[in-house]
Amino acid sequence: MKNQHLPTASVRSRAVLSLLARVVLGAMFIYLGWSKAADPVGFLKLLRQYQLVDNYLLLNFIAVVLPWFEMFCGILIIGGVAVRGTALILLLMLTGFTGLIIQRALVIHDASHIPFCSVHFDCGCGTGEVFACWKTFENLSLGGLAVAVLIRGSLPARPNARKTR
Amino acid sequence: MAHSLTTCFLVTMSEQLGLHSCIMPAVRSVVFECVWVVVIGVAVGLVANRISPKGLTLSRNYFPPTPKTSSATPLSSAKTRGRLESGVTNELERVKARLARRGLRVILHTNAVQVFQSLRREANNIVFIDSREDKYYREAHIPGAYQLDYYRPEKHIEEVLPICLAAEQVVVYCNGGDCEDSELSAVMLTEFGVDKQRLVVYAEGFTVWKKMGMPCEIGERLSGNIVATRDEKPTPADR
Repeated sequence: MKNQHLPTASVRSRAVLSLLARVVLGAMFIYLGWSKAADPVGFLKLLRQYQLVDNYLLLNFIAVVLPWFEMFCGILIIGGVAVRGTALILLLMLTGFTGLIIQRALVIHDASHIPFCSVHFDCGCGTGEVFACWKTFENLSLGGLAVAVLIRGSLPARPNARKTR
Repeated sequence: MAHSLTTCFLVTMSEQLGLHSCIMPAVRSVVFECVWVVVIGVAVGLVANRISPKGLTLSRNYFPPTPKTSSATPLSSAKTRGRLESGVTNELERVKARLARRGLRVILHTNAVQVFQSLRREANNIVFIDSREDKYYREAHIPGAYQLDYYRPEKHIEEVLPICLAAEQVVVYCNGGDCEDSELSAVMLTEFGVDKQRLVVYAEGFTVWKKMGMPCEIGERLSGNIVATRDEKPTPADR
């Protein structure tokens, strides 16, 4: 009877893994956002290279908002606030970023005739020059974490805590 | 209104797809979380940019487009036109073509050195303008060059503009290569009234200046801290 409401070991371990996933994902986005926010001019120039938008107002808007938005999402996800919504947003962002990186890497690969995985450039991610393959792998890993967090949400330590929401 | 439309859409879809009724509230919850995270996140970004000393000006066009053709370009000799039409092959030619379309004159390293060594520079009849940001300017710049950070012109324009207006020749440079800051600064100076005929862009930029072992000034302008690197062999790291 006394042990009726104690979480099982598997529930506790899932909660710990969920927390770990949130912390890793959140910390990464806080770091990447901060790196961009520390050099907004550099980020603006790199963003321009992708030729995403023709309108300078939209380009400026993305350059201004995106770094801080990434940090905001990182803080939310670590703090356990709006976890699923934030995880979905991060997943969508990672999908878009990965597509852009692969596209740009293919352009460089076609122009310079070097192997795709040897292509390296400053992707504007906040980590300086990176190899396209490694960056794609990194983004896919972060995307996997985002999916896990999206599914699990902010797991409580005790299963009964869910019922009281 | 948006809430009710979204709810209606989700309920209709769930009925069509035969989804379990407990999934729809979770999906609705996630969607609404997304919406408010985006709204608040964007607001946070705009406020942070406003407060940050490094913030960008949202309404400024930092990259005015390069004209497609220029009817009166100083470099529009037949040879240059031919190259422009057939496509430029090396980086310097590409840079020269781009500057020509803006109606800007280009000088190469040899000319830049001659201008630097001219006595007119000491009388401020010739001025060098470094269009890079603080970090790069302070690391090293051409001795006596004034700084005009293109992305933060308000910091230096009051000091630099009168000097440029009075000078016989203004040489603008940045790192060179694909860096467009020098040409953008030159265009900005013309908008402030500096005569285009007095403006030239040192196309190869500070990277080549340093690589060729020319003297470099460290820190503030006229700091006296000049590194003479003429005896040092340029290393691949200097590229």
